[in-house]
Amino acid sequence: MNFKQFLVLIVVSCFLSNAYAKSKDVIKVLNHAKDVPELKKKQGYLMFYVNVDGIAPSIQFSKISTKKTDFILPDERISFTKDYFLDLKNVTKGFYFIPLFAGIYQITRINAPFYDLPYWLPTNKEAKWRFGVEENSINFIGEINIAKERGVNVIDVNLFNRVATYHEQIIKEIALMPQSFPLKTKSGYRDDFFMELGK
Amino acid sequence: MIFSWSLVNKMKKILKKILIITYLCITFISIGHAENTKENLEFFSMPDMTMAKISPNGQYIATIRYQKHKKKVTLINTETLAESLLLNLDGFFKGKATISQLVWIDDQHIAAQLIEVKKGIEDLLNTKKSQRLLVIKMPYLNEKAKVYSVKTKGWLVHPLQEEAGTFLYAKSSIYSKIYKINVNKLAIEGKKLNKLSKIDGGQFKASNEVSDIYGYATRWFIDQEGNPQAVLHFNEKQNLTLSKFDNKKDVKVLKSWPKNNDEHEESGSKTQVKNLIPIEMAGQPNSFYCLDSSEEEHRTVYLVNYDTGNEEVIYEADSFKIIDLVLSPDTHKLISVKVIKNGLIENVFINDEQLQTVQQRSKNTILMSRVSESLARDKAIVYMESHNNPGQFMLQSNHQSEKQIIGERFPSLSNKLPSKLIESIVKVKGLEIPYLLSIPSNEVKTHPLIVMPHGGPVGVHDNRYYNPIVQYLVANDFAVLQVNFRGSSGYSTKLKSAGKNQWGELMLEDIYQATLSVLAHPEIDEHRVCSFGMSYGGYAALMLTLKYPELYKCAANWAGVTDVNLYFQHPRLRKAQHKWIREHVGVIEMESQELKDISPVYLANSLTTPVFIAHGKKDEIVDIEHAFRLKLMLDKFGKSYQWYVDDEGTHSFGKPAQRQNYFSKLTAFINENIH
Repeated sequence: MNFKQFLVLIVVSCFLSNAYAKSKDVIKVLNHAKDVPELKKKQGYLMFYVNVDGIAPSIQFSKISTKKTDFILPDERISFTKDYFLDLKNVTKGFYFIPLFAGIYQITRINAPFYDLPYWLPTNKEAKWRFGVEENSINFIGEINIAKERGVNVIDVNLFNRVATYHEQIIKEIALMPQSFPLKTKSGYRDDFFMELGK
Repeated sequence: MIFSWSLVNKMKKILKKILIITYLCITFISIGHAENTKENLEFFSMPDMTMAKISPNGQYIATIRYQKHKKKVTLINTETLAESLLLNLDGFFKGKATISQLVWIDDQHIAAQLIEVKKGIEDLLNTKKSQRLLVIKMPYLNEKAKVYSVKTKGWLVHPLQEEAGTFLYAKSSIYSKIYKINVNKLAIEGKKLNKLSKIDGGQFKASNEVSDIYGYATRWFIDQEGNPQAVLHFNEKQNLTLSKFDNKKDVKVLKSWPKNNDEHEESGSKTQVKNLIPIEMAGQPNSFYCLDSSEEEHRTVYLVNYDTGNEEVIYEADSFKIIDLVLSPDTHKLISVKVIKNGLIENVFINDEQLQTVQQRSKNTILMSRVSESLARDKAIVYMESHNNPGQFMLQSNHQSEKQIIGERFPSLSNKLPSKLIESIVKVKGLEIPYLLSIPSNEVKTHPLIVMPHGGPVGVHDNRYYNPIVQYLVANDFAVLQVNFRGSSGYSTKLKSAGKNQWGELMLEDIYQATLSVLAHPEIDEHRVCSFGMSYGGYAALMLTLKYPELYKCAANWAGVTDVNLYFQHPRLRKAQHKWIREHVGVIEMESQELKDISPVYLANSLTTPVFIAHGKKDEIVDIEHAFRLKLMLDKFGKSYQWYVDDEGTHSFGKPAQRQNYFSKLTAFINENIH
């Protein structure tokens, strides 16, 4: 291999490694408790309550490059490894599940278009838009709420930490799953409530 | 057969007796029930008279009243005090619309600015508002009042009372303008225009322009004669700007606020700075009454001179968010603030004394405010309120020594609230903590005590004027203690700033010490004490019974914070609010265990007293999760509690029916457990 061929190989390798270092968007499908797919190795179920309104809401989230599954301290720097796209169009109110690899995720963007107006909210830095997933567990992260009403340049979107509010329904819901797993709560910040409740 | 007939007759008689007894029982039960809820209904109903304005010639008073579930404008003759209906407003309202302004244009015309906050996002400036201006012409004899309306979007900025039949109206767009409008050229409300008719009589044209400015104007500042003096508008760079008209042509920028001005870089760290936005022009040159847009909620009115940079606090609202200011047209003195109270816009009247600095204030327990006067100043409307007077509008005339009552906010409570108000202080860690103690004035020797901490907790206070909850509890034979603990506004900077980082610490200590102090009062039953509050007040009520169960025999909260960590992670908190919390409350920096130590949820196991947890499902300030967390923990430890969720409830006690329902349950709970 001469120098020219070597140089071409290096350039091509760099290009490919760069292109694939961060996986392209993965479209995730929502599942009901009774039809959740089996977990793969190192996966856990993400569980949340959907309460969205509007024309075609969707959220984008990314896996954070970390081995943690709880929460990230405010001064820690974060980088993303994999992006996901979750379509919430016509999704009715209720609990949904997605199998995800263990780790911490950041909701990076909420899309809430209104007819021809492309409303969206960048959320890629805020801890309140993070959640964790623990292997072989059901990880309840709260209620994703996208309101239909909006201001001229404002949309009302929230991820409510509501494990107690929905506790009774969560227990009923996970009883419908084909296999049982321990229930955990995984907000983007330290919240010991559920752990203390279970003590 | 004879035997059978007599049996039938006997049976008939017995049946008749049973029916009579049943009827009497039902009647007595319903009378008893009505008596039980009567007081509640009176305290938590809609106010009757909310505004009264006297005509320029002093002959009539226009009032806004709410009677028999109808909003109306009435006319009162100042000589005879005879009242007549001018307009039933119900046909003009949809949804949550309310009258934001009632102004006499001249002796024949009254303008009513209707405002409807359409469903939008709470607390945002661009929540959709729909405004309509109606102009009502006084009827001749038995005629119906004629109602004109302005179709063009905008608002009345000056009534031009000395030019009969005209007023100034502002219209905002890329170029914002003020037009002089003639009432007689407007169309009658509800009447369809024919093809040849122009909207609003085609009056929004260049020849009617009075003033203009480049950019979208949000407020115009007009002098008594109707000359525009300044305008608050967005300039070409979209910066909010206060421009002053030196004469009709020259425009001078007094102040400009860059976009995102809610934070300020200083020595590398971001600190909160005041963002004083002018709301009304004060009587002195270049001076304005302002609200601080960086304040957690607008509760403080500042007087700012943009030339000298001088600023001073001139009024602090007790707890409700100020949305507008109302000035006396001639003296430009602040006479009332408009606040959002239980979801409705209400006027809170201010007396001269409240506008003095804290040190200058005496302890006058009666609020008296001159709200409107005739052009000759010989007649005026005075508003009066005190701790046991829910508010009266009175006519004051130079020809009569005594004021005459023309209407009341709650006529059914007039002279029916015998109670004493005691104002005092208690020293806690070297700081004077003011408190208000309301005691029933009846023959009962001692009264159970309800300790009622206010919400907020910082920048809010309980004042000495009418409070329907306090008076309702007093009418039910309870004494009520309201403590202006450290962090409270309305007294001194020292008291307010002492509240920093004292969320679960000295604020509670202040309330406890004040409670101990009033127990010495001979009319208080020291063995029967219960705590009750809303929001932070609900948190404090729970914490007091957790910390001092031997004193506080029960506790009730509405929308109470139960998990401090959860509260400060609320997704709806804006960045500015987070900064404010970091600076004033400090809990974000606290360790996890410290937060648990001051959170009722994590102290539930040690609860030994009965509690009543109540929350609104639609609360956007303290999420309903707080109530459910406490409920789950109490269930876990097998503690008894009373539970109430209002499906329509927000972060207020809600509409009259919601309030009546909740307070019936509250008094029943307290009566059952305060022993």
